Amino acid sequence: MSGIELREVSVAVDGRRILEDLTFHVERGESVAVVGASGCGKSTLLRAIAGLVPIETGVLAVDGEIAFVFQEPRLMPWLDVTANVAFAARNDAERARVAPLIERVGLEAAAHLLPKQLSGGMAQRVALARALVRQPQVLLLDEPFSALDALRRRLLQDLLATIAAESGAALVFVTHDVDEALYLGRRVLVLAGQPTRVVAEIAGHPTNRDHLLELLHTEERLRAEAQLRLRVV
Amino acid sequence: MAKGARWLPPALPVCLAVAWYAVTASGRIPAYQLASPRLVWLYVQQLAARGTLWQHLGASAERVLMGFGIAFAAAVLLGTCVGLWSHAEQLIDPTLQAVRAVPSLAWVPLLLIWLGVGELAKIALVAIGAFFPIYVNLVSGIRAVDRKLVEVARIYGYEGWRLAARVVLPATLPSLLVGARIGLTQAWLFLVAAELLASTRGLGYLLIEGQQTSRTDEVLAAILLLATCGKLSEMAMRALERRWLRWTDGLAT
Repeated sequence: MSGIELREVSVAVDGRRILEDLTFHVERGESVAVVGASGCGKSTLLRAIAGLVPIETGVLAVDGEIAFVFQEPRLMPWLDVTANVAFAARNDAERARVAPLIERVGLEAAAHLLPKQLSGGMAQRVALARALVRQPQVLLLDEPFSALDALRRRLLQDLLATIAAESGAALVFVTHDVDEALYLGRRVLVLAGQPTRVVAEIAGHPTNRDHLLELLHTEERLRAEAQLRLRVV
Repeated sequence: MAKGARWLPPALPVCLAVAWYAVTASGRIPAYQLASPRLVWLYVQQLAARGTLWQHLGASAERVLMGFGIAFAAAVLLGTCVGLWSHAEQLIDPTLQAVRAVPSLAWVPLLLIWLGVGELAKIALVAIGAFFPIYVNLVSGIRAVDRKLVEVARIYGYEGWRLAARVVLPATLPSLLVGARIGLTQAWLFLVAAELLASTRGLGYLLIEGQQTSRTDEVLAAILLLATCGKLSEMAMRALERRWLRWTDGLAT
């Protein structure tokens, strides 16, 4: 059973086509990394899957509850940790999951702190817990750990990997960190071109690091050259 | 404020009082031009003993509270509409900005013609004075609400009044409270203007009566009472801010 299915999806923002002819699927319990040059539309892809941006053509099917984790934690500054996690709860069953989830992300001692009292890593843990309250079948993460230092990033990557495995959700995350893509993703989709398409799909294995880096570097160079041409014209 | 500087805020008033006392005690300025602190204090005690002190204070406080209450309700209603719906903004805001440009005392003749010299005209003038700071701060506060937080709330299905109550209102509270604090100060300002024009009770009336009878002790007593009232209401508003805005990440927390 597919968690997410895209067939020949294209997306336009403000009349300009950003994504074109995207076809891929993500199984439940599978995690897929999306990499590509900055500004190529990686975030737009996630937002389209979440229904925040309408698609222009194609078929996009998402099975079940979607949760979204942003690059910034985006916590309500006037709510403490518990209330921020409970912000996503719709009923008593979901409210009952708030405390266990806070414990699951290791914040039981901080349950009553305000966001301003949290470090970046703690705040992102809260955001993760909030995203899990509704037991989503699809978890979308937009560069969720890019603001953290290396140690905290690794801790949260491991936490995300375990939680995703436990929940059986389909996981799609955008990253600009090649190692993160290969570490967390079972598959890595490389986006490139203008409008952006999927130019390669790589197995998420550390041995593919050089291959992936080369792909990205080539793409960055092509982009830079294209921009230079644009400027010369 | 640094902890060791508790004595700083009262230092200046104390110095001024001492200077005031020294000047009057030297006898170089006659009492009908500047009454001594002792005379002013005696006058306040007299008022209190006759029971009229509370009458004047009560009349003024009532006008301020009524006017401020009306202004607050109207500003929250209009400010919310203007802040949230662009149609309401286009319809209401230009007119309000034009009205705001009118010096508020220019309304006095109209208020007197329409509402007479009674309580209503005074309360209306206080309300006009208090309205704009609350309205302007609320509207700019709603505009400054973090779009990213609203997006998160939308993802979790918050729309309409639930979105307003759970996200927009709390996010706007800091600017609303600042507006209310300035509005309350404005209310006291306009109260005096209203009471100077036509009144038989209130602190503004004491000012006029003192001027007409050339009693500087009465005028100074009224000024000091106004200062005390203004300071007390400002302290009350700040206490509310401290209580409700513990979550803000500003310097003052």
